[in-house]
Amino acid sequence: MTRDVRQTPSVRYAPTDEVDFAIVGAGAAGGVVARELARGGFRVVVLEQGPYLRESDFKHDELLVSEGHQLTNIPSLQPQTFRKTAADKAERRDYIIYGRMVGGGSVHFTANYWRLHEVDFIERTRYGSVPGAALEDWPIRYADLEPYYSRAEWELGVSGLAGANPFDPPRSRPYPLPPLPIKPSGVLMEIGAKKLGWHPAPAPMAIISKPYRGRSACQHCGFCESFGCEWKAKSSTLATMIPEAERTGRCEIRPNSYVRRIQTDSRGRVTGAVYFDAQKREVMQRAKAVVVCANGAETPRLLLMSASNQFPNGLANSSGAVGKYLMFNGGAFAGGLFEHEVNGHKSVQVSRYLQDHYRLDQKHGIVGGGGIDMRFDWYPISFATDALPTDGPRWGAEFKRIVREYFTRTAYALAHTTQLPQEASTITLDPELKDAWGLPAIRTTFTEHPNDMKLYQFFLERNLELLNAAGATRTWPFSLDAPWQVHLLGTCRMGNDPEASVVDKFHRAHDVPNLFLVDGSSFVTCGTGQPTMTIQALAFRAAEAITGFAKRGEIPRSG
Amino acid sequence: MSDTPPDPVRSRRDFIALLGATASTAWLATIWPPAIADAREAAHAVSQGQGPRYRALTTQQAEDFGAAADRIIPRDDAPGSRDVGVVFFADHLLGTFAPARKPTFDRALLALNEAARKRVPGASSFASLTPIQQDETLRSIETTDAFNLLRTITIAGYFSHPSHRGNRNEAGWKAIGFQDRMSWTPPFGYYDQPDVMARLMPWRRA
Repeated sequence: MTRDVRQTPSVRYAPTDEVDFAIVGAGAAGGVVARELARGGFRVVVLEQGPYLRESDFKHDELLVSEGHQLTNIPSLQPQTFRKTAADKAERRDYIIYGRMVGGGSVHFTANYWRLHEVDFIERTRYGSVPGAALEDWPIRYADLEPYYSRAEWELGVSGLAGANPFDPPRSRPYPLPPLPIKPSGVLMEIGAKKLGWHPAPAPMAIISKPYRGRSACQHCGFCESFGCEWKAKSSTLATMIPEAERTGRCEIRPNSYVRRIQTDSRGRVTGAVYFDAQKREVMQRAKAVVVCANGAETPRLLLMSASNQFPNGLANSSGAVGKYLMFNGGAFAGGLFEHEVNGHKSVQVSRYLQDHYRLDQKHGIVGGGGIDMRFDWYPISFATDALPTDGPRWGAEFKRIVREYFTRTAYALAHTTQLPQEASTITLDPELKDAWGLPAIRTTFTEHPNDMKLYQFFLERNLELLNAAGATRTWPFSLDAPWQVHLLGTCRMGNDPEASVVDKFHRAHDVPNLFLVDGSSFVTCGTGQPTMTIQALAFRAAEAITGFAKRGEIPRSG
Repeated sequence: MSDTPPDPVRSRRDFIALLGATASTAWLATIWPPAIADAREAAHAVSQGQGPRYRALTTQQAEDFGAAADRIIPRDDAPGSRDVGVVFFADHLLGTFAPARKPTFDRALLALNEAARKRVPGASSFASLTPIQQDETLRSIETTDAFNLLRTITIAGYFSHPSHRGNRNEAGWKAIGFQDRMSWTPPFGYYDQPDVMARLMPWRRA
């Protein structure tokens, strides 16, 4: 059930009280930025559209998170449209899924916590111009971000084993916590990968293997992906950054506050954020500066909804890049049946991964690469509806027999891959459909680049090869036509050129000196795999920069 | 490598897409405590030997859906759909948190009965057919949206958290070897037992 009961009272600001920073979104990035700015001595209000749930609200109930949308955006209130290309008529389809609560997607994510590698920041240099793709180097390098990767690992709590993955980029510190126990799927992955000459390693997970900073260790209940952690063992911002931000006495988390517009003055500077409160009343929170951490779909939507006479194409959009270059990471998925009990439903979803194919040999003629993990991320309902080989019976005695035989004996190989940025893949405002607040719905326009599909096929074959080498008695592929819809990247890309990017390398909007955008929208390329860690490292780095700007008087104010 | 071509239609989120798109708003804030109360009430009624009372289904709908559900997940050495309360689950689903799906459900049952009459002219209902006739009827519509809805609700009712009135006594979970617990300790299965790992992963000893 939805409650907004806080364990400790925190500071409250009046909307008319001009705070130092209004932050839009209390998720993976917003939670980090809030904590860092509040610790830096600033007065902060975080406006979060979703509720403020506690661990006691989390249940092992599939219907609650799927039908109930307890932790995610709610299609009946926030309908969306989708089209493959701008030439198509967009149809009603809920394409984008994101965390909608204090803690955002960091609450329900699987907690895979991969760093990007050096090459992810320089793919334009590496590959040159790729037809149909807007491949660019980032304005920062891995070395610029490395200290913040380490900070994220230590501040949030990440389990892993430094040096175990030979492809891991250089790191300045080991992981703060040892790896979680190997699961049967991890054993099978090691067996298969060793046969193939690959290099499996303990998966880095933002789930604590031992007690850490007042939180209890993972108890292996198995409800990580799609669920909130009752034990506070998943290092979500709800369990880590948010309470620390509140404890400063300078940060107010304001849930059920759905921002509809960033307000600007006659000089083109931000004056605050206008939001609907829980009673759908419009409220304006005044602020000296605004940091938008609303995710790669809602951040561009909010900028586009904040168009004005001065910013006719949307706020901070003189480049026209707001909403463009949408990426999700690609992937491929395959299942395998094994002779003995795997019991994947116990413990965290992933215990081993490998990155042998991080960059494919040029002979394949494919740009990018990916990483593979072995996992089990089904629950009883989703397993019976969607996890089985598609050529088998779908109902009846034989169907039931297979569900019963397979549930405890399957493991799955999942690859996360590059997806190329394309100008035509966008988040825009639907011209007709409105949400329950009367605001334009998200319209997604997306088609994979041909290179993406080649990558998926390559990795589907590797997944099947891995499962077979691990001793699967049967393997089966899943459709390649079902892209991830949860990694929301690239839609306000970072760059040095104000004519081709939305924010600079410190996440400040090129067009608006007191507006910052910090989330997956900043990505220039999607990187080779799991993005959450990079989103949070960027957030630590951005918060440090913003703190410096504010202390040095380098954030011009309105008025 | 399997020769099976990837199915172009199904995705891992089918289940959600099928049921969730028009679910009533914010049901969980208003429905959650009653959902648990309903489950207790239903269990109490059954324990007192009282007949079922439905919130959303007619008696005939309950019979037809129950008959179909029992062919989709029949009884073997584990309980069948009706045994674990799948009909009560459907009634609860359509009567409380997904009432917007009720018209679609009604149409699915009409399609089911139409197919039943096609199989057995003059049949009064799907429920009145023999199990073999029921299977033949279901096979004749198994690629339709109507069938998919009945299948999805059946599976959801068989495997959902028991607070939603299906999966009575966690019988669905027991049938597949799932147990809802707040903690587990290694070894989790066969392959991560120390002696098995030592045998299968000799490099770990090196």
